[in-house]
Amino acid sequence: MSTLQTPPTVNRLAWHDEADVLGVRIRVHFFDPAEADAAPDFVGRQLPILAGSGARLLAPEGLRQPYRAGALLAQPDAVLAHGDGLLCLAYKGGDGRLVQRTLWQARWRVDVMLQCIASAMAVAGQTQKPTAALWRGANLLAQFDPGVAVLECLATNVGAARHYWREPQVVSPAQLAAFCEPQLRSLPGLAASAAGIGSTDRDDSVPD
Amino acid sequence: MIHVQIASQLTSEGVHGVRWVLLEAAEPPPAGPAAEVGAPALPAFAAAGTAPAAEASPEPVGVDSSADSLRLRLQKVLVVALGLGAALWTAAVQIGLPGRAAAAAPGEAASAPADATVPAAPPASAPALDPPATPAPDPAVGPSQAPASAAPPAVRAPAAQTPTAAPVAPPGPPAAPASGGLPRLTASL
Repeated sequence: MSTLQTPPTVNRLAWHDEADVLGVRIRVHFFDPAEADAAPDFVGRQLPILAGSGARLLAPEGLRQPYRAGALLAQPDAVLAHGDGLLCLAYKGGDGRLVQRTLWQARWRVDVMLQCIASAMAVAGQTQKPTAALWRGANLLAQFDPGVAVLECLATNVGAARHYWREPQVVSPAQLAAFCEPQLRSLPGLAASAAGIGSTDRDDSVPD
Repeated sequence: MIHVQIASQLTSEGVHGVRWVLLEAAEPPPAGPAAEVGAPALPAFAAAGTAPAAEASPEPVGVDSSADSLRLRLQKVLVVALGLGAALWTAAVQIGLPGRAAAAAPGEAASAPADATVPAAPPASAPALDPPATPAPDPAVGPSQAPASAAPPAVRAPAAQTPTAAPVAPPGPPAAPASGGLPRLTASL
Protein backbone atom coordinates (compact mmCIF):
# COMPACT_ATOMS: atom_id res chain seq x y z
CA MET A 1 0.00 0.00 0.00
CA SER A 2 1.35 3.35 -0.99
CA THR A 3 0.13 6.88 -1.19
CA LEU A 4 0.83 9.44 -3.81
CA GLN A 5 -0.30 12.76 -2.53
CA THR A 6 -0.99 15.41 -5.07
CA PRO A 7 -1.83 18.49 -3.07
CA PRO A 8 -4.68 20.36 -4.65
CA THR A 9 -3.70 23.95 -4.90
CA VAL A 10 -6.77 25.43 -6.49
CA ASN A 11 -10.48 24.88 -6.65
CA ARG A 12 -11.03 23.32 -3.29
CA LEU A 13 -14.58 22.20 -2.98
CA ALA A 14 -16.93 23.73 -0.48
CA TRP A 15 -17.08 21.01 2.10
CA HIS A 16 -19.00 22.08 5.18
CA ASP A 17 -17.62 19.62 7.68
CA GLU A 18 -15.21 16.73 7.95
CA ALA A 19 -14.32 14.12 10.52
CA ASP A 20 -12.54 10.82 10.96
CA VAL A 21 -14.83 7.88 11.49
CA LEU A 22 -13.30 4.44 11.88
CA GLY A 23 -10.20 5.26 9.89
CA VAL A 24 -12.01 7.10 7.11
CA ARG A 25 -11.83 10.82 6.57
CA ILE A 26 -15.32 11.99 5.72
CA ARG A 27 -16.05 15.30 4.08
CA VAL A 28 -19.66 16.35 3.92
CA HIS A 29 -21.46 19.01 1.98
CA PHE A 30 -24.98 20.04 2.97
CA PHE A 31 -27.42 21.33 0.42
CA ASP A 32 -31.07 22.20 0.02
CA PRO A 33 -32.78 19.07 -1.32
CA ALA A 34 -35.53 21.01 -3.05
CA GLU A 35 -33.04 23.16 -4.86
CA ALA A 36 -30.86 20.20 -5.80
CA ASP A 37 -33.75 18.12 -7.06
CA ALA A 38 -34.77 20.97 -9.33
CA ALA A 39 -31.44 20.88 -11.16
CA PRO A 40 -31.78 19.89 -14.81
CA ASP A 41 -28.84 17.52 -15.06
CA PHE A 42 -27.80 14.47 -13.11
CA VAL A 43 -24.64 16.01 -11.69
CA GLY A 44 -26.55 19.00 -10.41
CA ARG A 45 -29.16 16.79 -8.73
CA GLN A 46 -26.95 14.11 -7.23
CA LEU A 47 -23.65 15.96 -6.88
CA PRO A 48 -24.56 19.56 -6.11
CA ILE A 49 -21.02 20.35 -5.05
CA LEU A 50 -19.82 19.50 -8.57
CA ALA A 51 -22.57 21.33 -10.40
CA GLY A 52 -21.13 22.94 -13.47
CA SER A 53 -18.03 20.76 -13.50
CA GLY A 54 -17.08 18.41 -16.26
CA ALA A 55 -18.29 15.24 -14.53
CA ARG A 56 -20.40 13.01 -16.76
CA LEU A 57 -22.15 9.71 -16.41
CA LEU A 58 -20.56 6.64 -17.97
CA ALA A 59 -23.89 4.86 -18.35
CA PRO A 60 -27.47 6.08 -18.79
CA GLU A 61 -29.11 7.28 -15.61
CA GLY A 62 -30.68 4.47 -13.63
CA LEU A 63 -28.67 1.76 -15.35
CA ARG A 64 -26.39 0.08 -12.88
CA GLN A 65 -23.35 -1.41 -14.49
CA PRO A 66 -21.51 -4.23 -12.71
CA TYR A 67 -17.86 -3.77 -11.86
CA ARG A 68 -15.67 -6.60 -10.74
CA ALA A 69 -12.23 -6.71 -9.19
CA GLY A 70 -11.19 -10.20 -8.30
CA ALA A 71 -13.95 -11.76 -6.26
CA LEU A 72 -15.52 -8.41 -5.45
CA LEU A 73 -18.55 -7.59 -7.57
CA ALA A 74 -20.28 -4.23 -7.20
CA GLN A 75 -23.15 -2.46 -8.88
CA PRO A 76 -22.87 1.17 -7.84
CA ASP A 77 -25.78 3.48 -8.39
CA ALA A 78 -23.75 5.68 -10.71
CA VAL A 79 -20.21 5.98 -12.03
CA LEU A 80 -19.06 9.26 -13.44
CA ALA A 81 -15.91 10.32 -15.24
CA HIS A 82 -14.34 13.31 -13.59
CA GLY A 83 -11.06 14.56 -14.95
CA ASP A 84 -8.68 11.68 -15.25
CA GLY A 85 -10.46 9.68 -12.60
CA LEU A 86 -13.87 8.28 -11.73
CA LEU A 87 -16.55 8.96 -9.17
CA CYS A 88 -18.35 6.00 -7.63
CA LEU A 89 -21.64 7.32 -6.27
CA ALA A 90 -24.28 5.66 -4.12
CA TYR A 91 -27.55 7.45 -3.48
CA LYS A 92 -30.15 4.73 -3.04
CA GLY A 93 -29.06 3.34 0.29
CA GLY A 94 -30.19 6.08 2.62
CA ASP A 95 -33.36 6.25 4.63
CA GLY A 96 -34.41 9.56 3.08
CA ARG A 97 -34.38 11.53 6.31
CA LEU A 98 -32.81 14.93 6.56
CA VAL A 99 -29.62 15.09 8.57
CA GLN A 100 -28.84 18.03 10.82
CA ARG A 101 -25.44 19.55 10.54
CA THR A 102 -24.67 19.09 14.20
CA LEU A 103 -25.85 15.50 14.40
CA TRP A 104 -24.55 13.91 11.24
CA GLN A 105 -21.68 12.10 12.98
CA ALA A 106 -23.94 10.61 15.62
CA ARG A 107 -26.25 9.20 12.99
CA TRP A 108 -23.53 8.08 10.64
CA ARG A 109 -23.82 4.57 9.33
CA VAL A 110 -20.45 2.89 9.09
CA ASP A 111 -21.79 -0.01 7.05
CA VAL A 112 -22.99 2.30 4.30
CA MET A 113 -19.63 4.06 4.30
CA LEU A 114 -17.69 0.81 3.96
CA GLN A 115 -20.00 -0.35 1.21
CA CYS A 116 -19.29 2.79 -0.77
CA ILE A 117 -15.56 2.31 -0.38
CA ALA A 118 -15.77 -1.32 -1.41
CA SER A 119 -17.80 -0.37 -4.48
CA ALA A 120 -15.20 2.22 -5.40
CA MET A 121 -12.50 -0.43 -5.04
CA ALA A 122 -14.34 -2.67 -7.49
CA VAL A 123 -14.70 0.18 -9.97
CA ALA A 124 -11.07 1.16 -9.61
CA GLY A 125 -9.91 -2.41 -9.94
CA GLN A 126 -11.78 -3.03 -13.16
CA THR A 127 -11.15 0.31 -14.84
CA GLN A 128 -7.64 0.80 -13.43
CA LYS A 129 -8.40 4.44 -12.78
CA PRO A 130 -8.31 6.38 -9.55
CA THR A 131 -11.80 6.41 -8.12
CA ALA A 132 -13.39 8.51 -5.41
CA ALA A 133 -16.11 7.09 -3.19
CA LEU A 134 -19.17 9.29 -2.71
CA TRP A 135 -22.51 8.94 -0.98
CA ARG A 136 -25.47 11.19 -1.44
CA GLY A 137 -28.10 11.44 1.27
CA ALA A 138 -31.27 13.44 1.47
CA ASN A 139 -29.53 16.72 2.14
CA LEU A 140 -25.81 15.95 2.28
CA LEU A 141 -23.09 14.66 0.03
CA ALA A 142 -20.17 12.79 1.57
CA GLN A 143 -16.78 11.95 0.14
CA PHE A 144 -14.77 9.19 1.77
CA ASP A 145 -11.01 9.21 2.09
CA PRO A 146 -10.17 5.80 3.53
CA GLY A 147 -6.98 5.33 5.46
CA VAL A 148 -4.40 2.63 5.10
CA ALA A 149 -5.94 0.27 7.64
CA VAL A 150 -9.37 0.39 6.04
CA LEU A 151 -8.07 -0.18 2.53
CA GLU A 152 -5.86 -3.07 3.59
CA CYS A 153 -8.65 -4.64 5.60
CA LEU A 154 -11.09 -4.50 2.71
CA ALA A 155 -8.54 -5.60 0.12
CA THR A 156 -7.16 -8.56 2.01
CA ASN A 157 -10.44 -9.99 3.25
CA VAL A 158 -12.29 -10.47 0.01
CA GLY A 159 -11.56 -14.19 -0.06
CA ALA A 160 -12.28 -14.63 3.63
CA ALA A 161 -15.59 -12.81 3.28
CA ARG A 162 -16.52 -14.97 0.33
CA HIS A 163 -15.85 -18.12 2.33
CA TYR A 164 -17.65 -16.69 5.32
CA TRP A 165 -20.78 -15.88 3.38
CA ARG A 166 -20.41 -19.15 1.47
CA GLU A 167 -20.53 -17.45 -1.86
CA PRO A 168 -19.18 -19.67 -4.62
CA GLN A 169 -17.62 -16.98 -6.78
CA VAL A 170 -18.07 -13.35 -5.79
CA VAL A 171 -18.87 -11.27 -2.76
CA SER A 172 -20.84 -8.04 -2.72
CA PRO A 173 -19.67 -4.78 -1.15
CA ALA A 174 -22.36 -5.14 1.52
CA GLN A 175 -21.07 -8.58 2.48
CA LEU A 176 -17.46 -7.40 2.50
CA ALA A 177 -18.36 -4.39 4.61
CA ALA A 178 -20.28 -6.50 7.10
CA PHE A 179 -17.33 -8.86 7.37
CA CYS A 180 -14.73 -6.15 7.85
CA GLU A 181 -16.59 -3.76 10.14
CA PRO A 182 -16.07 -5.78 13.36
CA GLN A 183 -12.40 -6.15 12.56
CA LEU A 184 -12.00 -2.44 12.02
CA ARG A 185 -13.82 -1.72 15.26
CA SER A 186 -11.47 -4.05 17.09
CA LEU A 187 -8.41 -2.14 15.94
CA PRO A 188 -7.28 0.07 18.83
CA GLY A 189 -6.41 3.20 16.89
CA LEU A 190 -9.49 3.52 14.72
CA ALA A 191 -12.22 3.61 17.32
CA ALA A 192 -10.22 6.06 19.43
CA SER A 193 -9.62 8.34 16.46
CA ALA A 194 -13.29 8.33 15.59
CA ALA A 195 -14.21 9.58 19.06
CA GLY A 196 -11.22 11.85 19.60
CA ILE A 197 -10.94 14.06 16.56
CA GLY A 198 -14.53 15.08 16.15
CA SER A 199 -15.67 17.55 13.59
CA THR A 200 -14.13 20.73 12.39
CA ASP A 201 -17.08 22.87 11.50
CA ARG A 202 -16.31 25.29 8.75
CA ASP A 203 -19.73 26.75 8.28
CA ASP A 204 -18.42 30.25 8.76
CA SER A 205 -16.16 30.03 5.75
CA VAL A 206 -18.63 28.47 3.38
CA PRO A 207 -21.65 30.43 2.29
CA ASP A 208 -24.89 28.48 2.08
CA MET B 1 -3.19 -9.19 -7.43
CA ILE B 2 -5.21 -6.30 -8.73
CA HIS B 3 -4.02 -2.74 -8.54
CA VAL B 4 -6.68 -0.52 -6.98
CA GLN B 5 -6.43 3.27 -6.75
CA ILE B 6 -8.71 5.21 -4.45
CA ALA B 7 -8.74 8.98 -4.71
CA SER B 8 -8.46 10.86 -1.46
CA GLN B 9 -9.06 14.38 -2.75
CA LEU B 10 -11.80 15.71 -4.94
CA THR B 11 -11.68 18.99 -6.80
CA SER B 12 -13.76 20.56 -9.48
CA GLU B 13 -11.21 19.45 -12.07
CA GLY B 14 -10.79 15.87 -11.08
CA VAL B 15 -9.51 13.53 -8.42
CA HIS B 16 -6.20 13.81 -6.62
CA GLY B 17 -4.22 12.18 -3.89
CA VAL B 18 -4.36 8.59 -5.01
CA ARG B 19 -4.01 5.79 -2.48
CA TRP B 20 -3.38 2.42 -3.99
CA VAL B 21 -3.74 -1.05 -2.61
CA LEU B 22 -3.43 -4.56 -3.97
CA LEU B 23 -6.66 -6.50 -4.08
CA GLU B 24 -6.85 -10.25 -3.98
CA ALA B 25 -7.29 -11.82 -7.38
CA ALA B 26 -10.29 -13.99 -8.03
CA GLU B 27 -9.90 -17.64 -7.18
CA PRO B 28 -11.05 -20.27 -9.63
CA PRO B 29 -14.56 -21.48 -8.83
CA PRO B 30 -14.70 -24.79 -6.95
CA ALA B 31 -15.28 -27.74 -9.22
CA GLY B 32 -16.89 -29.89 -6.57
CA PRO B 33 -16.55 -31.16 -3.07
CA ALA B 34 -12.88 -31.93 -3.61
CA ALA B 35 -12.20 -28.28 -4.31
CA GLU B 36 -13.38 -27.35 -0.86
CA VAL B 37 -10.52 -29.30 0.66
CA GLY B 38 -7.97 -27.03 -0.96
CA ALA B 39 -9.86 -23.84 -0.16
CA PRO B 40 -7.92 -21.47 2.02
CA ALA B 41 -9.05 -21.37 5.57
CA LEU B 42 -10.43 -18.34 7.29
CA PRO B 43 -7.86 -16.06 8.87
CA ALA B 44 -7.00 -16.42 12.48
CA PHE B 45 -9.17 -13.57 13.66
CA ALA B 46 -12.24 -15.20 12.17
CA ALA B 47 -11.52 -18.43 13.99
CA ALA B 48 -10.74 -16.58 17.21
CA GLY B 49 -14.15 -15.02 17.37
CA THR B 50 -13.45 -11.45 16.34
CA ALA B 51 -15.29 -11.98 13.09
CA PRO B 52 -18.87 -10.73 12.76
CA ALA B 53 -21.21 -11.76 15.49
CA ALA B 54 -23.47 -13.64 13.14
CA GLU B 55 -20.72 -16.13 12.42
CA ALA B 56 -21.58 -18.46 15.25
CA SER B 57 -25.23 -18.81 14.39
CA PRO B 58 -25.10 -20.49 10.97
CA GLU B 59 -22.45 -23.01 11.97
CA PRO B 60 -23.51 -26.57 11.32
CA VAL B 61 -23.52 -29.23 13.96
CA GLY B 62 -20.04 -30.60 14.30
CA VAL B 63 -17.64 -32.14 16.72
CA ASP B 64 -18.08 -29.42 19.29
CA SER B 65 -21.83 -29.78 19.42
CA SER B 66 -21.62 -33.57 19.88
CA ALA B 67 -19.16 -33.10 22.73
CA ASP B 68 -21.49 -30.56 24.29
CA SER B 69 -24.44 -32.94 24.07
CA LEU B 70 -22.41 -35.72 25.70
CA ARG B 71 -21.34 -33.37 28.46
CA LEU B 72 -24.96 -32.33 28.97
CA ARG B 73 -26.07 -35.93 29.24
CA LEU B 74 -23.40 -36.66 31.83
CA GLN B 75 -24.51 -33.65 33.82
CA LYS B 76 -28.10 -34.85 33.70
CA VAL B 77 -27.11 -38.30 34.96
CA LEU B 78 -25.06 -36.73 37.73
CA VAL B 79 -27.93 -34.53 38.86
CA VAL B 80 -30.36 -37.45 38.88
CA ALA B 81 -27.92 -39.60 40.83
CA LEU B 82 -27.34 -36.87 43.39
CA GLY B 83 -31.07 -36.35 43.82
CA LEU B 84 -31.70 -40.05 44.23
CA GLY B 85 -28.89 -40.39 46.74
CA ALA B 86 -30.16 -37.43 48.74
CA ALA B 87 -33.67 -38.91 48.80
CA LEU B 88 -32.40 -42.29 49.96
CA TRP B 89 -30.23 -40.72 52.65
CA THR B 90 -33.14 -38.62 53.91
CA ALA B 91 -35.38 -41.67 54.03
CA ALA B 92 -32.73 -43.65 55.90
CA VAL B 93 -32.34 -40.89 58.47
CA GLN B 94 -36.04 -40.27 58.99
CA ILE B 95 -37.40 -43.80 58.79
CA GLY B 96 -34.48 -46.12 58.99
CA LEU B 97 -32.89 -48.69 56.87
CA PRO B 98 -35.17 -51.52 55.70
CA GLY B 99 -32.74 -54.19 56.89
CA ARG B 100 -32.53 -52.75 60.42
CA ALA B 101 -36.29 -52.45 60.67
CA ALA B 102 -36.74 -56.09 59.74
CA ALA B 103 -34.09 -57.11 62.24
CA ALA B 104 -35.67 -55.01 64.98
CA ALA B 105 -39.09 -56.66 64.63
CA PRO B 106 -38.63 -60.23 63.46
CA GLY B 107 -41.99 -61.31 64.83
CA GLU B 108 -43.95 -58.86 62.74
CA ALA B 109 -43.57 -60.98 59.65
CA ALA B 110 -46.12 -63.45 60.97
CA SER B 111 -48.81 -60.82 61.43
CA ALA B 112 -48.26 -59.24 58.02
CA PRO B 113 -51.26 -60.88 56.32
CA ALA B 114 -53.57 -59.56 58.98
CA ASP B 115 -52.38 -56.02 58.31
CA ALA B 116 -54.14 -56.00 54.99
CA THR B 117 -57.45 -55.34 56.68
CA VAL B 118 -56.17 -52.29 58.51
CA PRO B 119 -55.75 -49.02 56.66
CA ALA B 120 -52.10 -48.18 56.54
CA ALA B 121 -50.92 -44.90 57.98
CA PRO B 122 -48.68 -42.63 55.89
CA PRO B 123 -45.10 -43.68 56.50
CA ALA B 124 -43.77 -40.15 56.69
CA SER B 125 -46.10 -39.16 59.52
CA ALA B 126 -45.69 -42.37 61.45
CA PRO B 127 -42.64 -41.33 63.54
CA ALA B 128 -44.29 -38.06 64.55
CA LEU B 129 -47.58 -39.69 65.43
CA ASP B 130 -46.25 -41.83 68.12
CA PRO B 131 -48.87 -44.33 69.26
CA PRO B 132 -50.26 -43.73 72.74
CA ALA B 133 -49.04 -45.77 75.59
CA THR B 134 -52.40 -47.43 76.07
CA PRO B 135 -53.98 -47.74 72.69
CA ALA B 136 -57.67 -48.41 72.45
CA PRO B 137 -58.41 -51.92 71.31
CA ASP B 138 -59.90 -52.20 67.88
CA PRO B 139 -62.86 -54.53 67.83
CA ALA B 140 -62.18 -55.63 64.27
CA VAL B 141 -58.53 -56.31 64.79
CA GLY B 142 -56.74 -57.97 67.59
CA PRO B 143 -55.35 -55.83 70.37
CA SER B 144 -51.79 -56.55 69.46
CA GLN B 145 -52.17 -56.15 65.71
CA ALA B 146 -53.72 -52.72 65.30
CA PRO B 147 -50.91 -50.59 66.75
CA ALA B 148 -48.27 -52.75 65.20
CA SER B 149 -49.64 -52.26 61.72
CA ALA B 150 -50.05 -48.50 62.14
CA ALA B 151 -46.61 -47.93 63.53
CA PRO B 152 -43.44 -47.88 61.44
CA PRO B 153 -41.00 -50.74 61.74
CA ALA B 154 -38.64 -48.79 63.95
CA VAL B 155 -41.24 -48.22 66.65
CA ARG B 156 -43.23 -51.36 66.23
CA ALA B 157 -41.39 -53.32 68.85
CA PRO B 158 -42.02 -51.03 71.81
CA ALA B 159 -45.61 -50.40 70.69
CA ALA B 160 -46.39 -54.07 70.40
CA GLN B 161 -44.93 -54.80 73.80
CA THR B 162 -46.84 -52.01 75.46
CA PRO B 163 -49.50 -54.13 77.20
CA THR B 164 -46.95 -56.44 78.77
CA ALA B 165 -43.78 -54.38 78.99
CA ALA B 166 -45.35 -51.24 80.39
CA PRO B 167 -45.48 -52.40 84.02
CA VAL B 168 -41.82 -53.41 84.08
CA ALA B 169 -40.49 -50.39 82.21
CA PRO B 170 -38.23 -48.32 84.44
CA PRO B 171 -39.42 -44.78 85.08
CA GLY B 172 -37.37 -42.00 83.67
CA PRO B 173 -37.09 -39.72 80.70
CA PRO B 174 -38.19 -41.21 77.43
CA ALA B 175 -35.34 -42.47 75.31
CA ALA B 176 -34.91 -41.45 71.75
CA PRO B 177 -35.82 -44.06 69.21
CA ALA B 178 -33.04 -46.15 67.84
CA SER B 179 -33.66 -44.85 64.35
CA GLY B 180 -32.49 -41.38 65.33
CA GLY B 181 -35.87 -39.69 64.84
CA LEU B 182 -37.75 -37.39 67.18
CA PRO B 183 -37.72 -38.28 70.88
CA ARG B 184 -40.87 -39.81 72.31
CA LEU B 185 -43.20 -37.36 73.91
CA THR B 186 -45.15 -39.98 75.81
CA ALA B 187 -43.97 -42.40 78.36
CA SER B 188 -45.28 -45.73 79.53
CA LEU B 189 -46.96 -45.64 82.90
